This record gives sequence, C-alpha cells and structure tokens, in this order.
Amino acid sequence: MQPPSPQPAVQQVQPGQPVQHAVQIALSNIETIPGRTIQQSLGVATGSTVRAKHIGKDILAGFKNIVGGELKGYTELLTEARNQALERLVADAAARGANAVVNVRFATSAVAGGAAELFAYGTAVIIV
Amino acid sequence: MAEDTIATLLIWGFILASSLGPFLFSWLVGNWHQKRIIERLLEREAALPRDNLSTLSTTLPGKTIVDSQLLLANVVSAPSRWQLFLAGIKSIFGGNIKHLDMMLDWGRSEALQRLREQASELGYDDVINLRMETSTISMNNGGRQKGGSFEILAYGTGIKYL
Repeated sequence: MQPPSPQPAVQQVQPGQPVQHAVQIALSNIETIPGRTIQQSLGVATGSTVRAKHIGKDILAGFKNIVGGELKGYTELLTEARNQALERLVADAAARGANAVVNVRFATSAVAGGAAELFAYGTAVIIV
Repeated sequence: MAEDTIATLLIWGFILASSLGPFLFSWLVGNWHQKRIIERLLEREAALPRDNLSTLSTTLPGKTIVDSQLLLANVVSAPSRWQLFLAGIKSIFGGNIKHLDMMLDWGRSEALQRLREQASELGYDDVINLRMETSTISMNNGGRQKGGSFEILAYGTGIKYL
C-alpha cells in the first residue's frame, strides 16, 4: 500500500485514439522499452477504477441485446474507464520518479451491482 | 358473448406477442444483423495487406526501433436473445453450444481487427506481445448476470521500425 498519489482529471478519449498523458511516461507490455536501456527498477505501479453503467445505457444495451452484436455504449464506457486506470498507473509511476512502465497488464472483474473494476499494473522503471 | 371472446383473444394475443415477440424479432432480425456484421468484418480483414499482430515479445533482429507505444482495443458484444434461448435449451443436454460461438468469435476477431487498424493508422509497423482477455459484463443492477454480454480486450506494444 502506498500513500495516495495525486489523481489526474479524466480525459475524454475517443476509442481508437491514443491517450495523451500529462506526464510523458513510456508504456509497453514487453520486458523493455525497445531501443532503450533500463537503469533502475522502482517497484510495481498500479492503477484501478471501478465504474458502473448509467441506467439509460443499461436499458439501451438491453434493447440492443435482442439482436446481439456490439453494445457500443459499453465499449465506450470501458475504453474510458480503462484509460482512467492507465492515467492512475502513470500518476503512480510518476510519483515514484519513473519515466517508463514496462510489462503493463490489465485485469477486469465484475463486482456487485453491475459495476466493473478495471485494473492496470506494471513495473515502474527508469530508462536511459 | 362475442365481446368476451374478442377481449379474451386480445388478452391472449397481447401475452403471446409480449412474450414471444422479442424472440421472433431476435430470430429474424438478429440473424440478419449478425450475418451483416460478420461480412463487414471479413471485408475489413481482407482490406489490410498483412497481419501486423504477433504474440512474440521480441522485435525483428537487426532493425532499428524508432518508437513504441502500448496499444489497446476492446469490444463489448452479446449473443441475441434467440441464441441465448437456444443455448438455454442446449445446456440441459450439454455438449457444444454453437449458437454462442458466433458472437464470441466475432467479438474476438473484431477486437483484433481494431488493434490492427489502430496500429496501421498510427503508423506502427508491428504489434508485438499481443495479449487477449475476456470478461463477462453484468448487465442489470440486480446482480444477476443476464444477457450474456462479454468484453474482449486485446493489447500489445506497437513498434515503429526505421
């Protein structure tokens, strides 16, 4: 458990667009940042968010569910929520003085009451 | 007497329409809609010159890397009410439930295709260390899982070569 890091404001990001973080931190889900060298490891950086659906979206999704296929409202909601989890991961890494997070992984779990928890974690490192 | 018969017919008609209506609609429109989105996805898959996804965590040897970034793509999808109904019957006897395969397969291919398109739009040559994750999304606030909706997340590291 770490002291709470300052939480950045949520960005409205369109699906398919990369997130512009306030602090420039390189992210990757492989062991290194390609073309760079890791100098120091600073422990695990985490970021999580719990989101519940808006009832209107829930009803619309219920209608869309009759024919099957994509539920766009949910796709957007989860994209937004995952970007927020990444923002928090980046803020945590920045608070540790890192300039990159490697081996980023995601976990999703449904918690009670129609809410979903989105969790991102990775190793905060200093790269040169 | 005649009025009674009409009223009874109307009531039964309403009950049947409201209970079977969504299933019939789902059967007719759902199949058409699903075939259409699958065809569209196949067209988009054919439009890209090559598959830039890979599950390896290594880059091509002997090439200089200019840029890399974490890329994400997700899709929330659900089978139709009719498919869920058939699956419910099928699950009594067990075995392969092919009615649920269709949308699950579509969802996974769609998430991968979105990642491919996102990578090529942003100018990345390859996406390495591709990982996929599936999770169920609970739909109503009663806590009961209904609608069979699921989320597919695909992510990897986009690599730009010199």
